[in-house]
Amino acid sequence: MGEKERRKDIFERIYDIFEDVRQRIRDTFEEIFETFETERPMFDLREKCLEPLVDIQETEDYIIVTVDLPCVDKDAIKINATTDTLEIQADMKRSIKFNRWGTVQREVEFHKFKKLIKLPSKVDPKRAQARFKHGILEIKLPKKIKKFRIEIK
Amino acid sequence: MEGKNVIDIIQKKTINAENSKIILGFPEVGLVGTIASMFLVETLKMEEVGYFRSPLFPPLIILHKGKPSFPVRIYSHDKIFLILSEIPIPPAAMFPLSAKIVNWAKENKADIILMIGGLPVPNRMDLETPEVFAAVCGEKAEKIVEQLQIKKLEEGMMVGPYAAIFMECYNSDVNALLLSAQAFARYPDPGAAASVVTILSKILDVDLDIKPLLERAEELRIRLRDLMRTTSQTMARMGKSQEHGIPPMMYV
Repeated sequence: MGEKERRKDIFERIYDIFEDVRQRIRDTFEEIFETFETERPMFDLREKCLEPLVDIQETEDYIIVTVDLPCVDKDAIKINATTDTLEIQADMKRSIKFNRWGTVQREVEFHKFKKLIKLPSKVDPKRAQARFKHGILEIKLPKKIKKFRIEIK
Repeated sequence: MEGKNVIDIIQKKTINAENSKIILGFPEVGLVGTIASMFLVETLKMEEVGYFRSPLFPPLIILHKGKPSFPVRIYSHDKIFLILSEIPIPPAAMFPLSAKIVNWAKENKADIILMIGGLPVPNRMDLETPEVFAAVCGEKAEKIVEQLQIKKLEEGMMVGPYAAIFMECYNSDVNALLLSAQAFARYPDPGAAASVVTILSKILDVDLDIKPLLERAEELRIRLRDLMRTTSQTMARMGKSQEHGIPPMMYV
């Protein structure tokens, strides 16, 4: 093995070690984030709002966000989007009170749903489409992707 | 409770489960099993007759009307038994719990184990009435599916507590039937639960009006958000998404 190949081999091994460390850090952060997600309460007592359940699906060209919004009319939903966030706010048809639950929670009447969603990649919010059916809000956001056609020779 | 993998059934009353139907309602896809079970307990005025105790469950107690209770409980009404869990079954507890339930069913000469679940479908938003599909183990289960003309799940994979129950039933020659309604994967789905309850009323030969369940659908969806969130995370950890895969032997 020549000096040049040997150096290349060392650099590749160093790169692999860094890549491994990077992956471990990423996994650890994901785990921490998951724990944080579970332990965070799904309500805000000060704003008297509930956090809705959200599902994010990603296709090649779109990010599809669905939000469970029971007890909500279509006209009461406000959606604000940027290239990487989605903010949903929706007033409920009637306020909800969880009698007997917790200590301070039982006194609070919740009036709305609120959620700020961090999108997994950049989107074009101007071309987004939304529909609302059976209390489920679906927002289809086109990804900001530059595509280049590659010729096969 | 002796070993760390032990699961005990604590009977609060004498249980005679001979020729009975044992229903399982565990938190899973769309919380269909949980919602349907809660509805059955309420509608049939089922009585709590026992509970499961294990160090494999989280250190958690449920307070209801000021009284503590274990999260995995047994209810009964005539010859119907129902095992309900208010927590997602931890992956480590799935096999020992399944073995315990199936052994208990066999020892008590139960007629059949009926599992209530959800089948995630991407177009659920556009479905008015979700359809119920069945997975069967044993002749009795086959007969029910044939009589009620329920579509069978022919090919695919099952992952989770019901899969573990199926394995034990197959191994111990116990009849088992999974009733799985098309459902939202990550949202509580009372509509899907109502579809299963409709089929269950025929199997159990009891009158179950789903109207009150559908009337409370919005309220249930709000109240079950926390359980749905933890259930989704448990499902992800146990590789539930494998159910979307095509089994390699499909065309053999």
